[in-house]
Amino acid sequence: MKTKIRELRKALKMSQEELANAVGTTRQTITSIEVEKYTASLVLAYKIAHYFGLPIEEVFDFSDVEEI
Amino acid sequence: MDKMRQEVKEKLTYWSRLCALFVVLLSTNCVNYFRPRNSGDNYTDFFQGFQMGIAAGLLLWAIVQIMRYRKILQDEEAVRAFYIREHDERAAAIWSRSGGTVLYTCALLIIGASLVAGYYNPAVFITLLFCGLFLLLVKKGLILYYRRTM
Repeated sequence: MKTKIRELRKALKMSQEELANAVGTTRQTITSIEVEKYTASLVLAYKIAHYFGLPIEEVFDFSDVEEI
Repeated sequence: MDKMRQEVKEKLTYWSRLCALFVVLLSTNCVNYFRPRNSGDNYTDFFQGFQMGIAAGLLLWAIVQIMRYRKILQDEEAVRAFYIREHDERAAAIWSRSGGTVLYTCALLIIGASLVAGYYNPAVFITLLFCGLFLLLVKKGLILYYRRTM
């Protein structure tokens, strides 16, 4: 899933480690989310969006989600 | 922070109990090893030495874990880092996809069964031992694979 986490993080001049510490996860998880290898759970997505002060839809791109 | 600290203390208690169990295991093996034996064949010596090695290795591992958790308890940041690492969702997903606790438990039970079978049949002992080790290797391989792809 595409995200804007990298852009938001760089705008705040923040490292992956710092963001990981802030939202209670590991740097490897943040890396995997940024390179679109791993999709964050609802709880983690909420924590990340809440940290940036944005709604989840503005941080995570749901346009590719399959419609059933 | 209290919850995180409590979790580390629980791990410390768990490993302390295991350490006590491994001390008993090693003591039993030592008594058996130095008891006079009728049969002096190579397999009996090898098997008893193997059991002692396993018991000593487990004891050493338990001691290392105890020292690790005691060190973690001394630093608040280390406690937090430990808690985050233990509850990381990606790590949990990788563990689950690579067979979870089932594969790990099966491997350990098979290795335990091999130690019992070793008293009766060397071929069964070696076969079960290598089965258990193979399962552990498969688990490790899956973990490495999913770490790269997730």
